[in-house]
Parts: sequence; structure tokens; C-alpha cells
Amino acid sequence: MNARRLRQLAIAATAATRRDFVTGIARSLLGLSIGGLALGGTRPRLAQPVSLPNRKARQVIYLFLRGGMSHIDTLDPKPGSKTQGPVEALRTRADGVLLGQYFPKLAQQADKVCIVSSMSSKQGAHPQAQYLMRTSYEKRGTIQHPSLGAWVNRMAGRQNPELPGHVILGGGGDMPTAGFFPPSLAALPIGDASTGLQNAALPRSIQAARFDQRLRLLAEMNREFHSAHRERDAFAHDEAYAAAVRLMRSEDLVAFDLDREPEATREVYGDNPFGAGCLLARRLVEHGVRFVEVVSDGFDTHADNFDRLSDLTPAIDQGLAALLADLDGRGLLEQTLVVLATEFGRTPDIDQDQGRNHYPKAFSCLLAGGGIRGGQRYGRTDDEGREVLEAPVSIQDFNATIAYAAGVATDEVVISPSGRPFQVADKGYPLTDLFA
Amino acid sequence: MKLLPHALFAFLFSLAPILAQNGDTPAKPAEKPVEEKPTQEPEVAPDDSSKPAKPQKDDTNPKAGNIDFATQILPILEKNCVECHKAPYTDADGKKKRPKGGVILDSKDGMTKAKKGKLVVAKKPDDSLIVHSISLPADDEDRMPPAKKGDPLAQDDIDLIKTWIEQGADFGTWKGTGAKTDDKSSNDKAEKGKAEKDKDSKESKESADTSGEKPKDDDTGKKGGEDLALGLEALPEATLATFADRFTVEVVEVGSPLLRVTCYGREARIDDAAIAALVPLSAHVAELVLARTPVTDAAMTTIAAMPRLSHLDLRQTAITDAGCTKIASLAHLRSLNLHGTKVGDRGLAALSQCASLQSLYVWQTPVSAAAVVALQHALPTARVVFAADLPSPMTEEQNRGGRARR
Repeated sequence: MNARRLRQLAIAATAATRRDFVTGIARSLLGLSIGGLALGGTRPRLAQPVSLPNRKARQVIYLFLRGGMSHIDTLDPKPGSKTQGPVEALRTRADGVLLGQYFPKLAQQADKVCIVSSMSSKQGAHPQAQYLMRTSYEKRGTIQHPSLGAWVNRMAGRQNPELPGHVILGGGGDMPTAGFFPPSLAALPIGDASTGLQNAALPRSIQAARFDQRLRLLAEMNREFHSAHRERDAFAHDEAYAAAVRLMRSEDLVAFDLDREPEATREVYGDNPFGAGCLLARRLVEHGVRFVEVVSDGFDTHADNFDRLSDLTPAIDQGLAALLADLDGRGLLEQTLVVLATEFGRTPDIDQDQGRNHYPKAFSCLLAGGGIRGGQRYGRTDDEGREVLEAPVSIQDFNATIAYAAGVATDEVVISPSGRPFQVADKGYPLTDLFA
Repeated sequence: MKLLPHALFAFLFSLAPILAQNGDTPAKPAEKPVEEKPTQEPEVAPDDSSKPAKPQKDDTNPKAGNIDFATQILPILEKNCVECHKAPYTDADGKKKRPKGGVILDSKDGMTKAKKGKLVVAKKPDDSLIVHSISLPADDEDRMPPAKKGDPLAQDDIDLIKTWIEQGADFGTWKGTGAKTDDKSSNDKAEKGKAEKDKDSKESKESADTSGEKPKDDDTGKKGGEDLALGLEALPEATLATFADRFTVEVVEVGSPLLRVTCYGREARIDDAAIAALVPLSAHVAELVLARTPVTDAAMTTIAAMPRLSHLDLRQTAITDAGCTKIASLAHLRSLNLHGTKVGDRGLAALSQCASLQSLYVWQTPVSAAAVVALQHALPTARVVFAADLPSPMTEEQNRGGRARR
């Protein structure tokens, strides 16, 4: 391509394309979002939100166990099989639904959950599989796909204008993004749920009046720039500041404060990061936040699988059981979908290090609330947990089910800024059988 | 919470690397069209029902006289479309066949209800998906019929269909196969997908699904909603917008006149006066969330006069027996959340007349177990949640395991 052709193209580009260019630059260099707070409008809405008849879930709590949780030791035990290892199977409150011995408390809530035990994918590498799980698309170099939380907010809209619609608790490392959606749909990340949202209060030395004065000074300084550059994206930067200030002054800031929970409640959820994450997720959902993700690490048990699971799982058992019971007591479970997901399962064969390795071919996830019929197991693996025998569920199908529960039309196409069509769960089909 | 507020702003900049990955690489917009052309996927997807059809305003070609569907349009559809787009049936081999893409063209119901009713939009050929699909260029992969299946429709036939739609899409007396359809395009698609994917393993279950209780996943929400909405006109957007400062007012589902009203983030401002201001919406409110607001029993008079209310969330408010007694008269109330209110046994007793009630939440209220038993007796199908079934706390050792990060 020669320079002349390039120039022609540049001239031919429409105003919108040029604006996209500037948007991109502004976003890259300035960072126009504080995780879901930019009032943005940096891009036109591409389509109206569409909802479906079965829209029961107004909020989603997505618990993500990173590393690939062993399905045979947790949600899909195979008692009597040589692949089972030392972990015993537990009867639960739901007839015929067994759980690994690490989940005695979840067993008491089994009438509320649906275990999807026929998950199957071809992606056995952590970053790629996590990406697929969160976005429904294969990771590739040319585009960043929006995460499920960004999609749900994009399609269903925000319920609470004061709070971000998308929050991630815990985690770090590879985090989901808003992809090609406006940065205002990105998650607000909170590293430690028990300390909540940090640095949101004015320091004691700064009086409110002085803070206002500083904001006015800032506006004054920006005014000249704005008058010379009437660019929406420059204004978006101001809007991100305004949104941050609005959150600082919001009464709903208390939603982030776990200190307001009684000590007994915190104990019921578990005094550990996952438990605190579940409790904070409940608080946020009570305040109408659309999509809350809680991340827990450490399930990549290549060695000492059983010792490590016995360390890791009590917190998951406790936090999930407490969350389900508490949401139900508060009347929130019928309108809140709770998801327990992991990026793949682990090998049925136990290796010489007492470990299990990556195994995407068959694994299990869990759904509860939001219209899901509890006390059921969907799909089936063979007696050794190696192959899916019944009703295989792709990651896209699983995500389509989440979207369907949350009232997001899985067949609605959104065109990316580069002109390519995308759907919330790619070509996945919702498992409509799972709903009551 | 002692650091400068600027730390919060600094967080903005910490996001920059993440944001830089978003979407397109901004550095080369000019090249992009050239680069992407060869691999570019189609711009308009087949079932993007929310997107208006491509405007092809050319020849409206009004023909003399009204077009008769049965003799003029139906033959075109039968010749070109119906083979793939007929109501679900079982073929000679006993296999379930479903309409491609959930599009049903062999019955009036199918044509007017499938794909959310967008297949044929009377008087608006440009909004009708069927016109859109048959008018695409021959090399477009979304064009109907697909290249592998048949030739494009003749321009005369396309014009005829357009004109018929323009004239009001009158089907005359034709009803077609009379097969029932459900208008949930995604569902059709979902079931189609599942049927294709695991027809061996799930054959029996599938047929059970399709035989008797088809609309099982929406018989509570949707059907109730439809009945309630019957004959109700949607309120104009402008009316809804006037409530925006204190409430979020949205339709329960797209196309429904029924409303869901919430006030998340503005609870402190929702007092009895604010509820009184909702009177203009009374006929339309189906879901009302007033959790953690300062509303009192007085406001329940306004709420009791919302004839289509089916979900009422009053958790953590100061409502008492008096308020509860007022709302017990709501004829369609299905879900009532009284968690953390001051409602006691008297209020609960009043609810026994509320026959529509399906779920009731009374955890952390003065309600007694005996009153719950009595209510359960009066409303045997209702689910009354009296207490949360919380797990016992963990041992310290277990907590340590959960804290250990490896």
C-alpha cells in the first residue's frame, strides 16, 4: 500500500471513523474509565436492549474458581470407580445428586442448585480457557471480546445509577474487560472484599469546600482545552471524574463496607477472602448491582490434589452455602442467578504426585437461583468421569443459559466497531430445560 | 480510607493498559478497511431482529386492487420457503424436524408470531424480516433461500410480497397448518440446537418436552404477564421519563405495557409522597421494588390500588400489620418480600385471602412459626420463607485453609 492510497483512505474515512480513532487514542492514553463509572457515551448504542420472557434474574453473582477445579472430587463424584481416589461421595438434600465429601454445607442447599456435569470444551490452557469461559469466544490477537458481565450490563442496563453495574472481587492477573464495548462497562475491580472500596473518602485535611474548589480549578484549567478541542472523548475524561466524585458522595458507598455486617454473619460466610467476596456480592446485589464476580485461585492442583483440595474447598463450600441460604432468606434468590464456574476439569487418572492435570473434555459447573429449578443434575459423564455421555454442554451453551436467565437475548447481534457481528454467547444455545 | 482522593483518580490511569487492549487497535484506522475486507464477516446477521431491515425504498409499485394471500402470496412461499420453514413435525423416519432459524411460514400464527412478530410487519415492508431476507444480494450468505437450496426469488415475487405487506398483510381466511408456535425466537433456536446436538441421547426427553406442556418455562411469568397486559395501552416514553429522578421505570419485557419500578441508589428519597406520585402509573406497574426505603403503611393505600401488581419487594422497610393488611387485597400478587419488616401474625393472617401468592418472605420479622403454619394451610401452594437455612460457621482450621494462597 502506498502513501497516496493511505491518504485517500484517510480522506474517505467518515467523521465517525475519525471519532473512533480519537476515542481509541483517548482511551488508550488517558484511561477514560473508572471501572464502569465513566458516563462515557463515547460510542453510540448499537442496538436497544432486548429481553426475553423468562427474565427472572435481575442480577448475577458469578463465582469463578481459577485453575480448573477437579470435577471428580467436587461436583461429579464417581464412588466405587478407580478414578475416585480417596475422596468420598456425600448424599445431599436432593435425591440422586451426590457431591464430593468437601461440600457438606452445600449438600444442605442442594435443593436450590443445578449441577451441570456435562461441560465440555477443547481448551486446556489456563489463560485461553478462562478467556473463553468469560467471553464465549476464542482468544485472538485482533480483537478483545467483552466479558459476560459487560454484556449483561450492555444489554440489560444499569439498575443503580449510583454504583457501577459490574464489580469484580478478588482475582488480579488476567481480568475480564469490556472488550470493544465502552470502558464504562468494564468491571470495578476490588482486590480485597473485606476492605471494600479504598480511597473513596476525603482525607481529614481536605475540607469538602476545599475539594470543591480544587474541582473548580480543574474545570477551569480544562476549559481552554475543551474550547479548542470540541471532542466528545475529551469530555468523557471529565465525566469519568464526575462519576468518581458522585460515587465518593453516594450514600450507596455503604454497599461496599463489610464492617456494617454483624460479626455473626461474617462468620457464617467464612473469615477468608472467598467468604468475604460472597458476602460483599450479596450486599452489592441488594443494592441492585447487575453483575458481581468473585474470583478464587489455587485450583490448579497438579500435585497433592487431595491435600490441597481439603485446604481450598471448605471456604468455597461455606461461602456458597451461606450465599444461597442468605439470598433465599432475603427473597433475593428468585431474582439472582448464582453461578459457580471453573475453566476446565482435571484428569480422572491420578498421577505419581497425587495430582490431577488439565482436562477440558468433561467438567462441571453449577447454577442456582434466577429461575433455575433446584435439586437437579444436568447431563452425565461415564462411570470414571472421562467422557460426557449425555447432553454435552459447551461453554457457549453455558454462557447462553446465564444470559437467558438474565433476560439477555442470545440471538441479538451486536456489531463491533470494526464491523463484525458478535452475540453474548457466540453461537451458544440456552439450556431452557433447566428453568422451573 | 485515609489516602488522598487523588488515589482514586490515579486508579484511572492504572487502567490505561487494560483499556489500550480494548477493541480495535486505534493506531491504524485508515488501513483497516483494506486489511479486513477479505476476512470480514457479514455485517447483518440473519436473526438480528432488532436491526431494521436495509432500507430499499425503491419501487413500491402499487398494484391495482388488493393482493389475495392464498392465491398470490402463498404459492410463492410454498415454492421457495416452506420446505425448511414449517411448524415442527415428525418425518417419515420418526425424526423431529424443526423450522430453520425458528422461522415458520406455513401458518398465519407462525408468520405473525415467530421471531417476535418481526417476520411480517403489516404496512412496513422495510421492517419485515422476510422482505429483508429475500431482498439481500445473491452472494450474501444470509439471503433466503440460501444459495445451496434454491435461486433467489424473482423480482416480481419480491415486489408482490412487499406490496401485500404494504397493503396491510391481510391473510384473508387462511390460517395454515394451525400448528401452534411460540414466539420466543431464542427458544426455538435453542431447542433446535439441542435437538441437533444430542438428539440420540435426549430423544425421549425432547419428545416429552414438545408433546404436552410446551410453554412450561414461561407459564408463570409470561402468560400471567400477557393476561394482565390484555387490553392495556403502553404509556408514552415521555410519561415514564418524568419519574426518572426518583425511580427507574422500565418495561417488564420488550413490547409489554407492564412496568417494573425500582429505586436503587435513591432509596432515601422514596417516602410516601414519592409513592403517591406513582399514581399515574398505577394501572401499569407489575413489579415494584421499594427495599430499604422510608415508606410507611400509609403508602400501601396507593400500592393496593395497583391492579396488576405481581411482585412487591418491601424488604427492610417499616411496614407493619396495617400496611400488610391493605396489600392483601391485591388480586394478582405472586411474590411479596417482607423480610426485615415489622409485619407480624396479624398481617400474615390477612394474607391468607391473597390466593394468588406464590412466594412470601418473612425472615427477621415478628411473625411466629404458628402463624406461618396457619398461612401455609390457607395457601398450600405458596412458598413461605420463614428463616434462612444458614450453615454453621467454619472451624478456625478450615478458615486457615481458605486463607492460604498457593
